[in-house]
Amino acid sequence: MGLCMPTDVEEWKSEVYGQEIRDHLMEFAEEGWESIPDDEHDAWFERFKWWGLYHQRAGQESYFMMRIGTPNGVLEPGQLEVVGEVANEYARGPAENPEFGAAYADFTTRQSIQLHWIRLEDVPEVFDKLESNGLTTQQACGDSWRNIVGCPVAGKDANEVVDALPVAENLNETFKGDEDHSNLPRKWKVSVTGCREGCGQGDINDLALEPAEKNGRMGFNVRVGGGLARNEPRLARGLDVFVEPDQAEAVSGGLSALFREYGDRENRYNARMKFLVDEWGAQEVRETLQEEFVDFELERAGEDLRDQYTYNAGTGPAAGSHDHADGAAADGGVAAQYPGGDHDHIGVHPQGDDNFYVGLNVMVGRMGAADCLELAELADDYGSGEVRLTQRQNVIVTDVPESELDAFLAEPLLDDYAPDPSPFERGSIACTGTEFCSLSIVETKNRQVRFARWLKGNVDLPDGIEEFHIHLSGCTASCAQPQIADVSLRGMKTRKNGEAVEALDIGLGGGLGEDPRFADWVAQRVPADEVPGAIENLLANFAEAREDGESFREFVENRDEETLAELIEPEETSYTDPYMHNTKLTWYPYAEEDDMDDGPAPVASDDYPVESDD
Amino acid sequence: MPDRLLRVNAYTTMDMASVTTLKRRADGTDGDHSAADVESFGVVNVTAGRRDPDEIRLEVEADHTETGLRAHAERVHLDPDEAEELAAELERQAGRVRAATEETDGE
Repeated sequence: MGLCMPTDVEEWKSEVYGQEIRDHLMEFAEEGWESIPDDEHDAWFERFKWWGLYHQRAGQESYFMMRIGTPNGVLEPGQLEVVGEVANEYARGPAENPEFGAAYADFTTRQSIQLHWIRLEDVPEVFDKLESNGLTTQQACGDSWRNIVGCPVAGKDANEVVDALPVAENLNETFKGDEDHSNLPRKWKVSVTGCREGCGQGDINDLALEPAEKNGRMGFNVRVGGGLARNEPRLARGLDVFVEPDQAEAVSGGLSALFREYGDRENRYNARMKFLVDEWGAQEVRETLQEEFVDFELERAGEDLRDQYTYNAGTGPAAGSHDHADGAAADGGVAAQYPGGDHDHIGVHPQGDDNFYVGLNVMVGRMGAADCLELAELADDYGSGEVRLTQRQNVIVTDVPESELDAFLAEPLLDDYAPDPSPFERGSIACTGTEFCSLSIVETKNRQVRFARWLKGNVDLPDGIEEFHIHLSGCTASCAQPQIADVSLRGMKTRKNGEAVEALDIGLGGGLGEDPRFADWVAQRVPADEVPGAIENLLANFAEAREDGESFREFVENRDEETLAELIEPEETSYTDPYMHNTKLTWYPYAEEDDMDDGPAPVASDDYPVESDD
Repeated sequence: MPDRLLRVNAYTTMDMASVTTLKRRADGTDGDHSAADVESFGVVNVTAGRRDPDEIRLEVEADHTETGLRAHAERVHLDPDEAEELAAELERQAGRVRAATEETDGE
């Protein structure tokens, strides 16, 4: 390391990291929140992340967010019930959320689950319950292999070209807990996809395996160095490497080891793989991988399927949609009532066997604990009990026989979690926001629910536009993936009628597909209560100005910034926003008495506030 | 249009500072209140590295949708003496403004 100065985080990691953190965590849990020395909070909270625990923000001291990593988003039969039970019993805080109630689970953009208001003292019991049911929080956060993402219907999809699920599962089993890969310079996000839709979002991962064909053999092309954070979004770059499924472990491990050895540990902001790829170029990464980290000859890339990608591809409804090509949907059955949708897996779709999967929309990924339990029961009654999570924060019930479809679709729970949501509901993604996150500067989830509700009731999409993604992120960390949405919203602040109010920067025209592009940011600091009006006006202006058949993304691509900026006309409407008041400064944005000093935190194990010494 | 250059999150020092971007007039003259000047919001951040920091960084970025300029931000590198000098001067001027404002308010 020579003269380099490691960061605080690197120093803490060198003292205690990885597996051994658990012993300390259990000891603190036993002795209670107050046993963590004040001057060691930062170090321990950083380490706890490796075990999936994030300390919540100021005003909520002693409460943690807990992330459960579910590889490829697969919840095996019975596991959603466990999540619902844990949420119901342990994820209850001192205040309720007006949209979602007192206990709920969040499904994330990495097909994981987040619970809030978890107390340190409850962690051992929660771990016991999760682990005895095959679930874990290990490496859900921290500088290591994160939850592996992919097509949420891998192994089920009637149209997939490679079953990527065994590959993702093998990578998960191999690298979770592997000490050689448990302390990397920064997080390591992996996507493995075998479907035709491109829904694995490989382009925004550190490592992406995407389906490809080489000399009649099916496997994956390898891309590296994608990611959205730090105002420096990058698309993963092709490594010109093809791997067959049984080589995926060796090449993925080789790349993770390369990142471990050559990634920047001096500057966390420069540590992600994308910056190493910037510095070296894909070719040097390939050469180094070949020379130092794999012991067989790497093959050149195969023929990819990117030109067939339909997921978030910005091409409009005509392209893609493989449903109609296969018999099960083409015969006028139930699946035919849910045309399209295979890109994001919402609706009813045929599996490779004779069964169907049903994708349900979960607004901003949040589901009440009672609803989790009910859905788990429905999945058991109508399907195999398996439930899967998508990168659009939604759920899929798999293995439903055709004979059960009508009855399942008639279940009252599906009124709230629809298989045929409006495009605005379906296209919504929101990060955690000021409710719990210490980085965010605006409220996000409840606001996005209100946006979608208002847009659904007041705005029609122009002809031929059936998909419209609106992603809301509370800060530049980009957890809601704002740069790859049709409308990108990101937290800011402005002044309105003399008051400081929450506002959003607006970007347009981002998305993935064969030729992904990041949003053009065209408006800054639009007061949050004027954003729905801005979107309404934008869509009306787009409908009027578009050329024949132009998709929204094409429309944005074909126009200059000034023109686009003029199409956004912020305006107050019948939409009302109860969260304009700088929620970052509250202890909880929805509390009746929301001043920072009104919060009960920190609380001791008996739920009473910890007395302060002074 | 490119994104903001400075990160903005809850740790940012000021996410809504008032900024005037000074511009020279087309005729080459300028002044305190050039017609070309642009008032906008901007981001101001003060930071130093997390471990063994060797400088203080003062960063300023005006909202570029308002300035009409390509997105850019300024980063001023300060050693501790300079940072303290700047802080002292900010405090001194703050005192003057506060005193004057309170006087005015009291009238």
